[in-house]
Amino acid sequence: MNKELITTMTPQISIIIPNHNQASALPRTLRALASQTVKPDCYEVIVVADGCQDETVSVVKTLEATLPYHFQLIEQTGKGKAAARNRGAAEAKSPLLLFLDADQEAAPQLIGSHLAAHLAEPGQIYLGNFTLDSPPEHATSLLEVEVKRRQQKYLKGRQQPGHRFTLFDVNAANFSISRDIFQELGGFDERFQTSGDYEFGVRALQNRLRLHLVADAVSFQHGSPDLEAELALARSEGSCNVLLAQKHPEVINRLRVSHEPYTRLRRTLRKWLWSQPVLSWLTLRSLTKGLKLTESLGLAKYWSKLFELLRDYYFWLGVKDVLWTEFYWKRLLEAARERWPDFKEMEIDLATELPRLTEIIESQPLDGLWLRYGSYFLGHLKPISGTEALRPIHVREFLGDSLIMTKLGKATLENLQNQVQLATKTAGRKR
Amino acid sequence: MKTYVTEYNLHRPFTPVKNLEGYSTALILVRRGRQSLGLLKLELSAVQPCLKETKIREAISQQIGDLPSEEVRPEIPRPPVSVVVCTRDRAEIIGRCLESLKNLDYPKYEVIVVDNVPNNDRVKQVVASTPFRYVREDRPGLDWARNKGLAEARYDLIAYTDDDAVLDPAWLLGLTDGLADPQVMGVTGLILPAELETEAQVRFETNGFNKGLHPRQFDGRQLSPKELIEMHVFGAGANMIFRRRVFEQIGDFDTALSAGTPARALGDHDLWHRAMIAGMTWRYEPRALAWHYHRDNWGSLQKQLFNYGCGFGVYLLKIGRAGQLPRREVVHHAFIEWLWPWFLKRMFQRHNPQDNFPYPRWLIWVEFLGALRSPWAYIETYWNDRRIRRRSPAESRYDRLKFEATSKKR
Repeated sequence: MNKELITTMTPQISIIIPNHNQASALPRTLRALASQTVKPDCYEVIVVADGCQDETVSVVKTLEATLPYHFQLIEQTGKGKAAARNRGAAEAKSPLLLFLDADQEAAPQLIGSHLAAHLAEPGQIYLGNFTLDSPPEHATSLLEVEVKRRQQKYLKGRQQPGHRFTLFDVNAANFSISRDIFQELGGFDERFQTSGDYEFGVRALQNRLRLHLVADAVSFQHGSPDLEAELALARSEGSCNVLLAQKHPEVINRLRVSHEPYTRLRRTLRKWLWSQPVLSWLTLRSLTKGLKLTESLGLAKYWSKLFELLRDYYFWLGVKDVLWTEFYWKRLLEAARERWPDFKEMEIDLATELPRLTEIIESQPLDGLWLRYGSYFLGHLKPISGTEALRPIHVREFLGDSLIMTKLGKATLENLQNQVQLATKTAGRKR
Repeated sequence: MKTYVTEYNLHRPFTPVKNLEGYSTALILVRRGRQSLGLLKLELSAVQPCLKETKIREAISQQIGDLPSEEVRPEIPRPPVSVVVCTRDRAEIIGRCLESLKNLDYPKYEVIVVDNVPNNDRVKQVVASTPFRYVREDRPGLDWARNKGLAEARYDLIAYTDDDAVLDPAWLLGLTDGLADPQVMGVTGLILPAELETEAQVRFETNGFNKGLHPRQFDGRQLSPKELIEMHVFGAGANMIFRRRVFEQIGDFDTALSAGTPARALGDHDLWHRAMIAGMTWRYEPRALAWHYHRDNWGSLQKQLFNYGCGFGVYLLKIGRAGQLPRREVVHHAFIEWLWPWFLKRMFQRHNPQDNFPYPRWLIWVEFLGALRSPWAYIETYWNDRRIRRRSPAESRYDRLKFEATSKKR
């Protein structure tokens, strides 16, 4: 850790915690922030109580005296999480912002590693490495297993070394950014009830900011999932997906709102959703009842299938909340697919430029790459919308993994075929 | 999808609106100063929707064509007006209405807020912070409240509005413009939606209050029986003005009708109908502009449509029994003009495949159920009205019953 940093007295980083009726989780979060590897002078914590109707304020007021760091509580009427985060960012005094959710318990090295990452290479987005407090195997309910498995899959995906970060990796549960860049990008869009961080991610990626996962910046996610809250979340995700697709049509292919139904059951359900309100309502009721029934009978596999169906249904209800009719959904897809993003691609001849490969890729943001060796075409690293620019590791992985295997495999097969042909020919001659 | 409602004024600079995600159309009132020139309906782009001045200009040339010339407000006397706002426990939204009433551009007017059967005194507190008068009416029913406002009114012109409306500063000027002709006994004005943010509001607006931007005059002596029954072309009770002479001649609002009674709606239609029968002249004047906040959730829309179905049935029964129109005409209207095309035909009709936004069938059913309720509601509401009158007789000078009794004697 940088010594100079530890001895300075002004706060270097502001931790912004939006809170909406999470009074029970808050003390743990605030205490965890008190025992950090860096000195408490070099960071401040801002809790934004957004339309809290529980005892958040009183809990914080009693804790405030025991906290060693600069602390600030802001109250505002319920405007949503994005607005709360923006408010916290506006009140922050330090040049760096670390967004943390109220249910994230910080590991002791969290702030230190975020700070160190920004010192080493400023002007980027650093994603914290949040993990589950307990693995899904220890869960006590079917719902908890389901939700935690999904989260684990998401978290493991982004920990892979060659992972290409997408807009969905920008998760405001734990990430840090410089305040100037945050303000330049315009902060979070306050119309987004959920998914505001993804929308911010799209803008960050458009502005060619680099994303990095800080492996040491660990926080533990607490909280037990609740069925109703989970479904309400799915519904608001649906609404926000539409807004996101309208605002950034170039990423529509990454969004669930562009998915066509892919089984007969889902096709039927989708049809009912748009045009048969009564049948749709009956479906919803029977799915909910079925969920309860399978849970009481302990049919875990069927339960998770039903849950997946129900969550999907709620997602599409959210889509319907904004679009109202199928016509507008089709119109949105058509219009968005016309706005193809202008990708930046380049062709590289590995025969001459292999030694400078890393340098070339790092010098400019590239979405796709055409690779050849002399006149021999090697492969195409395809551009994907809503993803970060290529890094050397992606190209290395492409070369080392997929390309070599396919090309080498092909060459070996051709070789083998030649040998067989030769053998049969010689055998014929012998006869 | 949602509709973005806004105003485009030729006399003021227009700032382009960005980030209209979630909106599919824009409803724009084109104005020149205070003169309304036309209504535009503009399709917004499906992705990255925004509203630019060039687009509006283009739409004006396509949809309105040549703009009407600048009109000068006639130099007529502006007699003082009493404005009556009726409310019932809606302290949250009445502030918005009263705020707009404070900013009216008119030489002399008073505002009377009538609180109908309040559960608490929150409306009273809201009104206390304004220069307006607060009156309490303890008999349930919007028409009781309207009559109370009439009894409290000091001036000879009485304008009515609702608590969920917001008024244009030139509202009273517009209404009194309509009264420039001494023949005209009352005026109704233009009502536009203040917002169309939910599907319920858009559905309400499809058969809603907007009666267009062209002024019309109705002479009661020349109207056909059908026109005498269909009073909804006049507008709605959220934007109307009467001369006091109307009440002297035909009595006040029928307290058995309207919201808050078992009849549920359309007390204003009944009064207009009686005025037309008496041979008065009425005017629809779009220069008097009110913005109305429609109910934003399905539940209230459902209730409102049920009330309209029920209220119109009661209204038909009432005018049928009053016998001032040939009874055959009323029955014909009830079955052939109303029940069949408005309900039964629409209920089983196929959706037009060209229509991207078909009207939901269940809403027609809800209104139809209201209509089925109306015979019982008719009996119930007059029985209820007699009971209320026995307990506390109406103190109005223009009481409907008093009037009916004297007119029969004549």
